Amino acid sequence: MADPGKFCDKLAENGISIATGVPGSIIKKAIASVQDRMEYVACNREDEAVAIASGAALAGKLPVVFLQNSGLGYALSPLLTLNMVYGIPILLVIGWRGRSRDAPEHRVSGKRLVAVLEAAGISHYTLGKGWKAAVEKAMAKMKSKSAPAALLVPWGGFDE
Amino acid sequence: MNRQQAIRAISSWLTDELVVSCNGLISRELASAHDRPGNFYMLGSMGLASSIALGVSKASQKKVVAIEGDGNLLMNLNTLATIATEKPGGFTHIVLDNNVYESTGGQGTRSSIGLDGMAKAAGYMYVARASDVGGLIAALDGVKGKSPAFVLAKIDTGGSAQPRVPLPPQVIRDRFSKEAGGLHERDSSI
Repeated sequence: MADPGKFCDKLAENGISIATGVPGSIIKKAIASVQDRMEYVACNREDEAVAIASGAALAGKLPVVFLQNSGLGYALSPLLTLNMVYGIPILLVIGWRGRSRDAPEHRVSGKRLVAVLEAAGISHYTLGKGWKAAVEKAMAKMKSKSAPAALLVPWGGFDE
Repeated sequence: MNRQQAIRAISSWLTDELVVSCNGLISRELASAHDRPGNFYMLGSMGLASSIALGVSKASQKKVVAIEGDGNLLMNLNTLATIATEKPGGFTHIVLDNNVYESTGGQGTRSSIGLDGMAKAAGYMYVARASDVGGLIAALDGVKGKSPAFVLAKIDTGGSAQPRVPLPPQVIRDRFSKEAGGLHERDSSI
């Protein structure tokens, strides 16, 4: 389990310097922590969050986007038609509702999250015991491919 | 005023701003009329030109201009709330409104609600509307540092149909990033 503050420190150490996103229950403490470390642009929807992050990336920053898996569908449009067309690197931190028992609205999208990311060609790593290694692998992939990479955070991935 | 005349008027007003132009005929027209490294021609991601431009403004010292159509803005209307409350400096949002999706054959949009009124209600610091070339130049000249600024150019349908943007996406990206001051930092981090 990752302490949300230490997780955000790790992002900053790896060069992340701006954050955008849409809130979610699993990622709420990480979003609160990231705002102490860098600018956070609160967004209305996940496609907007990806686009703002991508604009910052075009102008030289390494961005992180916080979202919940229920909003991945909105994010996929710019991920597939902007980031993966031009090669614009962004890190996605996705709260993974519905990986195991969860509310009904999360069961379908939670069960299919990994399959959707793989169909889209987006590299993904799950936050667990070795969370620092997962962050570094995702960052390395994002930079080497100049493409989006995702960190998946199930319940328990962040300290409560 | 048609799209070509509007793009030419905007081009004559531009100095060293970074420009993000939307997918479809608007980027094609801009690439034909006034290609420059500081133009980011959005090819896909419809609706998100102004959001990309806001992100650029978060990382670059330069002024930023977003140029999009009414169909694009209507697809991402919530951007008005984000831009008006983020209050970026040196940010001008230009919408060419012909009330149709002309890039796909002229199907009608819902822009008759008045997109300039929505920008004003959201809290843009400057809102102007123009329906001819002289009016558009006057509206742009009226920005004078007020930000975020919104200029609605009511245009006629038709005009020239330019070929696709003749640049690979990675070339559009790299020359824009260099203009934005970001290529070195990003490359050194890769």
